[in-house]
Amino acid sequence: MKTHYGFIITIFMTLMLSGCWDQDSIKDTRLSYAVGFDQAAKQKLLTTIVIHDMPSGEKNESKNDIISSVGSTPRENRDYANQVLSGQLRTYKNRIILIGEERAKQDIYPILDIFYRDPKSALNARIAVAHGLAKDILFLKKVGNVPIEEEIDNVIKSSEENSKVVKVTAQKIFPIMMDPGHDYLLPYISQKGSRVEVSGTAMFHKNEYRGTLNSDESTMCILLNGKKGGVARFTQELSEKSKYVGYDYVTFNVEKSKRKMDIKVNTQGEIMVALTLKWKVDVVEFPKDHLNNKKEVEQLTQFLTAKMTDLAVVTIKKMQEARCDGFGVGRRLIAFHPSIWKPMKDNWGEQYSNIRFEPKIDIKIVKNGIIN
Amino acid sequence: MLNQKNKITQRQLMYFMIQTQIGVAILSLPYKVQMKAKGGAWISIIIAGLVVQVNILLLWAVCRRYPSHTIYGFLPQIIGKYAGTTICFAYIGYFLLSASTIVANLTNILGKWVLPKTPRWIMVLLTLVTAVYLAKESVRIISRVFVIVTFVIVSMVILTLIAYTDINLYYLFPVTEEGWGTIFKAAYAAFWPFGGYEIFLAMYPFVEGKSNGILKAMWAGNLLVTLFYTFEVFSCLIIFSPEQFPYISEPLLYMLKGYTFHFIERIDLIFLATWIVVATTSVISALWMGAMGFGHLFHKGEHKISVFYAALICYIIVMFARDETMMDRYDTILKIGHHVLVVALPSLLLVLSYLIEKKKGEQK
Repeated sequence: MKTHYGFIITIFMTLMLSGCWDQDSIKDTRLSYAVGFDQAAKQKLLTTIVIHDMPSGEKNESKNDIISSVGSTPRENRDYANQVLSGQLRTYKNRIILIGEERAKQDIYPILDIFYRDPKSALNARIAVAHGLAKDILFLKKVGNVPIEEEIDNVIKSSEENSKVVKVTAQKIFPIMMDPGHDYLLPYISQKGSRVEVSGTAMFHKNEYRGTLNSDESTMCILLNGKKGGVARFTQELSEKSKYVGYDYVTFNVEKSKRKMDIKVNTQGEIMVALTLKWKVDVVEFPKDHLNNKKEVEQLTQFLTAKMTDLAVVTIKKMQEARCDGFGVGRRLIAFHPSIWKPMKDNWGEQYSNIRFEPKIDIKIVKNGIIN
Repeated sequence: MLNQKNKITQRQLMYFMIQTQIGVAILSLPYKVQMKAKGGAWISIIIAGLVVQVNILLLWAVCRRYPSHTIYGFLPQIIGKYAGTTICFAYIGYFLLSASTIVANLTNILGKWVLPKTPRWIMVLLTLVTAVYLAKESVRIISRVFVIVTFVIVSMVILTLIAYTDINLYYLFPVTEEGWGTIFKAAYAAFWPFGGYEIFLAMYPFVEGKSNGILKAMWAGNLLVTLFYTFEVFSCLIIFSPEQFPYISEPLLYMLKGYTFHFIERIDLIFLATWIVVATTSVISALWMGAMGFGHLFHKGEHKISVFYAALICYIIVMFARDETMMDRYDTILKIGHHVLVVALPSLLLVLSYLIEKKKGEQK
């Protein structure tokens, strides 16, 4: 029986001790849900923190509080925010990291370091680049009835679903950040009136923002990367003009997309990347409508193939100009052609922009809705 | 000397072995091996596992010659009473030091990841109290618990699979980037997390059945551990890019940090919680082995009392290891101890015991 007492005492001790030092009650904390970083004068950092306060009763709507400050590092700014806030600022529920355009043009690792280093930080926060200042977007405070932090999160989420942007979280880009042979793309957010929209993707090279892709190019980039979201949709203007308004367009969904990337290196050491896409396409809008005619289908397929290949060429060219190796060509070289990679290692960005890409898109119309 | 009721089956021996081998080191194993062997790290693990298999064979060959004694019992028989007793103390010291370093590492990682403000002494105390609570029981009870908590290792595998949503197989290549020489060298670094198979030295007389079966059980245990380690290292290699590894010293935890379920925000903490169990079982084994030594020397083979002061010694050793340099010193001592006590000395004992037997035969 003696041992049993010992056991019971031990359990009680643990129960009473746990949390004594490390307890962090949610009632004493203020949770940050979004953080924005902008370039301030004299190499300083302008940080904007959006604090989301949970409604106390069920009827009360949720409120948010926005604080912005200038300091040298994100941590310094957090401390400043803590000084003016009642309660302890905590970031473990953070959903959004928004980086202003100007700041993003320089290496963004220093502002993310704190997220990677802190054991309590939320690495599943989405990262995005803001057109103009991140502060301006966050200070919208509310879009309709929805707090800004939730709105941005939802807007990005729906863009992911529509294959406009790839899902990027702090955790996901960490390996790519460190990888010399791979670059990432982040959602590009801009303010439109009193709303926010995802207007494209921001291309990065060596953690520096180098330019944007527009909406269609982003979708193409995602498909070329073999990472389709839920829906990928394009609207294309037809070449033959009709007399009536509205008959000149076709809209289609890419139902299935298969990607193949082949990297060939010839004897002179020139690199050629063959990107092959095989699409199964569902025509969702085609007012002109002659899809019961095989010849017409054939013509449409050919037309779309040509148009989409053009889009792919433009997209890749833009990425090459920005030196953004979003396809991980460099990583493939490291893996399978280490001898070619070694001399290129130091100026991969420049080398990458001179690589020859050969995109090939194979389209097959498999569906056309319930009318022909 | 040994009670028949206290015997364990060979299957229990296997679980005992697995629980003892898998300990704190698993968290940082991928990091340590990758730093040396890059994409070939998983091969290093397999090599290390094979080396351990050979080492197990050696220990088995020694122990089977004295089937009713632990190392503490047969040492004096082979090399004489005084030398034997002295070396017994060396073994006790070695086991207690291993227990202490495991506790020290365990509390350091807990302090780093979840309990930054909790004082270290309380974490060490709680770990050791838990360890004593089980280590003072008989081998049979300890092994039963070890069998039950093995499901924790399965759940670690399942949790790792969650991180497979973002993988890049190209991170593995080129596999032999650093050359085969380095892969073998890295196998040496991968060798330490396998430590714990030396429980054989004190465990042998407690196992039922024929000696061949015991060897098989040990081999099976080590094989499973090797597979588990290889899986974890392989997973880390395809989840983290090679250039990212220098930043992350506990890859197994870090890879789960960014994933969430609907109602669980931090999966890495769940992983940590399962890992604490696995690490504590290693402490229990090492503590039990040390206590068995004291028991043999001072308490007629009973370890119930000696566990308490063995744990006290551990507590003192852990509290001395306040900084990195002291931890490194302990590590060095342990490595030397391993070479001497688990590799060199058993080989010597094996040769000696043959010679003694031969001599006896001649005298007759």
